Order: sequence, then structure tokens, then C-alpha cells
Amino acid sequence: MKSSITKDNLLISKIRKFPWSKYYLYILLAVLLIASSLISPRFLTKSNIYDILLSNVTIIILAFGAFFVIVTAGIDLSVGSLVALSGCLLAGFVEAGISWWLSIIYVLLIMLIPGIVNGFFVAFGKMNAFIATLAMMSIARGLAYIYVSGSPKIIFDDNILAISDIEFLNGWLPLPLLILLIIFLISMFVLQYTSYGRKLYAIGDDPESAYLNGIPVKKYVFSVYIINSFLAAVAGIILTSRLLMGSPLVGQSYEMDAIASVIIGGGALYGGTGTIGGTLLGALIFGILQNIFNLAGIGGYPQMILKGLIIIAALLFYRKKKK
Amino acid sequence: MGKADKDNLKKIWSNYYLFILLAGVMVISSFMHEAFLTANNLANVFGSNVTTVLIAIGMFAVILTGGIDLSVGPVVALSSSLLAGFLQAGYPAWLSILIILIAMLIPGLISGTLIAYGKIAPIMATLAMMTIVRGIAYIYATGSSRIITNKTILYLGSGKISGIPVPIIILFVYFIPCWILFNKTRFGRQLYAIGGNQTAAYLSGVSVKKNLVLAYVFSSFTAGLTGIVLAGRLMMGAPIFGEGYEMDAIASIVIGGASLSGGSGLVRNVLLGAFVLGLITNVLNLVGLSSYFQMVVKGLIILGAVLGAYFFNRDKII
Repeated sequence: MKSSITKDNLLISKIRKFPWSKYYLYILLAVLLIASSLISPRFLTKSNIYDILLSNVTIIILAFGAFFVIVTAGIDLSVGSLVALSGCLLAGFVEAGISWWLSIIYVLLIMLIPGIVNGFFVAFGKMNAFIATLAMMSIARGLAYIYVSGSPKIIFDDNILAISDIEFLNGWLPLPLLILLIIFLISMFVLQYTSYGRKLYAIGDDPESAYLNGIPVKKYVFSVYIINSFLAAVAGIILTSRLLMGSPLVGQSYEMDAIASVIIGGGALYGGTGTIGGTLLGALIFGILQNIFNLAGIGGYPQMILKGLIIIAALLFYRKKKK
Repeated sequence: MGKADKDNLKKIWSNYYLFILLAGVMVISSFMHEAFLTANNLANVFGSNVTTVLIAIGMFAVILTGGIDLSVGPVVALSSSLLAGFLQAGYPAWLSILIILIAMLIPGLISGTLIAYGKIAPIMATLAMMTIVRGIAYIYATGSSRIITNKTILYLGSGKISGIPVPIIILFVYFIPCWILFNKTRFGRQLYAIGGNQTAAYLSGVSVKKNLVLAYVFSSFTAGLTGIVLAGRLMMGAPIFGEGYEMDAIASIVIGGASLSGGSGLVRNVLLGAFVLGLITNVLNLVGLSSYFQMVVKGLIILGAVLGAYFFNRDKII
């Protein structure tokens, strides 16, 4: 008798422990795919699916970066501006005659600096992440404008433009998607299978007990802002190649889309929860919804309202799990 | 110098640093440009910063509770668009203003309810409201701005009473009840209590949820009022108004020495902080710095303000 009870309890606890939120997302995605293919026959064509993926690569990469920060209960509002800054730098370097690969390396290296500054103020300066990255948001966009003196710089270098054009596997794997896949796999590995990743969750869950358990909280928090800034640079380079120019105007409110993707994917601003896979699904759901709205002929302004309602719905859906 | 003296000095400094900053910026500006210290120019400079000050005062209620309101910019846009629309539809000015001020309670009511009763993080709830309200403004105005010709509204935004711009008079008429609200009423003290320690406030009988909702309603209402003043000043209502206003308001509050984690700060200092920010922007314009440089400088000011507060008040982490 006793053993059967414990067995039942085990089963119940297994069901409870089962990561339902992951499967909610898959179900939601499937429902969306079915519904949208019913709404528009154009939806489930290869070209439309690739359009959705390629136009969302930037946001998805930013969402990965945002997830690293959010899992430690931080926030980074500066990524939209960093996307603009990295694009402008790339265009400027190429124009100055620096070879394309060296330009990319320079941009990736230089773009570590905003992350270092953000991370320094948040981790070691004990500054509120919101206000520190808000300041960086303004500073980085200002620098982007100054660097290109206000107007977009067109890129003529074929190698840079090729980043968004090259396709592998007979056109089934464009380079941006390959980069996305690599970042996704590395992020997943780091967050789920390394002690670094698990410690990030621990810090987000409870920084004090993480500290008491010997985790160098400050260093770890410092590092996620650098990761985020680096990923923003990668996203910026891909976007620049897609747009054929470096513009200080791009990336407005991208940070909001990235954060919304993390939230829809089950991450929470109080840290310590969510997965990178969930973030990917969240970003895809967000992107597909926007595509459906476009296909259904809903205008840009009503879409803004729907976007806000989606975010509220996601927040209300996950709020039960709040501590 | 004993410890008591040092503490005293610190206290005096933290009470008056904003006046010193304000005076410093004004002295620098008058060196930059001989026309700066004329009564006329001062009236214009202060008059054009009234919108920032108003928004900051409204958001201060929210920040006192440890929250944040990102939706104030779009509320400004919506209120100015509605005003222009109502006037075009032939409503009298006073009725339009009354309807709009009442209608602008709604965004705050929704975000406050989501935050207090739905237990959603303030930044996310007001972020969602931000896109929703701006979307509504765009839809209402069908994407374009509308000219306002109503004399009463234009007078509110750009009129002068014996040399003093009407917006400044509106600001001070509005500031007095706000000062009383924050400093002398139970509601104000309860906001401080909630920001200081929500659980303790709850346990000592403060109706935390109701007060949270009221704080967001206050912020939204003040933003609505700002929209009316702005529409009068710019002689039109447009759905693009108010971009980045939330950031200026947050910066003003931080310069005013309030903590973003809630429970501290004075509404008087928020007023001064907003004017300091406005005057610095004015100086940068006088020097001829491009608006791009100004973005960088604004970011540095925010960082400097936070670091300064940390330096002078080490026990308080912003």
C-alpha cells in the first residue's frame, strides 16, 4: 500500500516536473503554422518560411543575447543601438579600405567595449541594469550617428554583401541561418551543459546564495553583458549585409522585440528560469505572428496594438510560476 | 572636522546640490551667450522644458514605488492627437480637455492593474502599453499630424502672462497640489512606504495594490496633461510626439537624486533635476554641439548622476 502511494506520488511529481512550458510552445507553434496555412495558402511555401526565418535572424540572435542577461535577472536596453553602431562601423571600415574580413574582426572586437562598460557598471558599480544600459543606449546611438555623420553609408564590398547571400546545401541553408544555428547550439551547450551556464541560472535565482556558494557573482554578471554585446555585433553585421548599408537609424526598439521573445519563450525578468530553446521558439512565434498579420493584411498600426496584447498575454500566462 | 560635521556637510550638500548645479549651468550658459540671461530667453528656455518636468513629476509617483512607466511618451502622443481631433470635430476646448484628461486615466488604470493585481513586472506591462497606446494614437490620427487653430489651446501652450509663459504657470499651479500630495498626504507617505519595503508596508496596513494602481493612474494623467500643453506649444497633435520622453523623465528623476529602486527622493528635486537637464541641453545647443553629440552627453549625464548619488550617499544603491 505504502509503496503504491509513493509510486503514485512519484508519477504525479514526474508529471508536475515535466517541462510543460516547453511543450506549450511547440503546441502553440504548431497551431500557428496550421492556422496560418489555412489563412493564406502562401504561408507554407518554402520562400515564405525562409523569408520569416531570414528577416528574424537579427531579432533571434539578439534574443539569445538578451536571454543570457535576463537569466541573471538583468536587462540590456542598449542592443538596438549596438546593432546600429556595429553596422555603421563595418560600413565605415570597409569604405576606409580595410579588407572585409579584417573589418568584421575589428567590429567584433570593438563591440566588446560597450558590453565591458555595461557589465562594469552593473556588476562592479552596483548600478541598476536598466539605467546603466539606458545610458549606453543613448551613448551608442549617438556615437553611431557621429561616426557616419548622420546619414547611412552604402556598402559596395561584395564579400560583405555575400554574408546574406551565400547558401549551402542547394539553397536549403543560407549563411545567416547557419550562423544562427551555430550560435544556438553553442548557447544551448553553454547554458545547459557547462558549470558556467548553470551558475548563471543560480545567480538569477538568488544572487546571495550563489555568492555564499562560492560563485564569483560579479565576474559572471560582468561576462553576460559582454556576451550580449558581442551577439548584438554579430546581429548587426548580418543586418548590415542584408540592408546593403550601415545606418544609424536601424535597430530602434529591437531590444524590446528581443526581450518580448525571451518572455514569450518562458524566460522571466526576475531571472533563473527559461531555456535558450524556449527563447528560440518564442522569437519564432513572435515572428510568425507578425508574418500572419502581414499576410492577413492587418496594417502596421493595429499590429502595434496586437504586439502589445501578445506580450501582456504571455506575461499573464507565465505569471503563476512567479516566486 | 568631526563625524557629525561631515554628516552635516553631506546633508547640506545633498539638500542643495541641485541649486548649485542649476546656478552653475546658468553661469556657464551666460558666458556662452550674452543673450542667455535676459528675462525673455530664460522664460523661453524654462517654458520649453515644462513638458519634461511635468512627465518627470508624474513618473516620480511610479518610481517611488520601485516601478517604472515606459508608456508616458505614447500617452502624450495620444492625448495631443485626441485634442487635435476633438477640436477639428468642433468640440469646445474645455470639453475636449476634460474628456481627454479623464480618458488618459485609462492607460494608467490598465497598466497599474496588470502590475498590482496581475503581478507583472512594471517594465514589461508598461512596455506593452507603450506599443498599444502609440498604435491607438496612430490609428486615431490615421498616421498624420493635425493642425490646431483653437485660440484657447494655443494660449495654454505658447501664451504669456506679463512675460511669463503660460506653461510655466500651469506647471506651478500643478506642482503645488503635487507637492502636497507627495509630502503631506497619506497617499504620498504610503508611496514612500511601498517603495521602501513592500512587504513591510503591506503588513502595516497599507493597501499596496490600490496605491500602486493610483500611482500609475497619476503618471498617465500627468502625461495626458503634458500632451495638451505640448499640443498648444507646437500648434498641432501628432502620433509621433513624445518619443524618448520616458527616458528624459527617468534621467531627470535620477539627476534629482531619487533611487530607481524606490522609496526615496523628493518631488522638489525632480523638478530641479528636470530643469538642470533642460538647461544642459540648452547649453549644448548654444555651444553648437550636434544633436548626435547631445545623445552621447545625455547618456554620460545619466551615468554621472547615478555615480554621483552613489558617491555622496554610499548606503543608497541606485
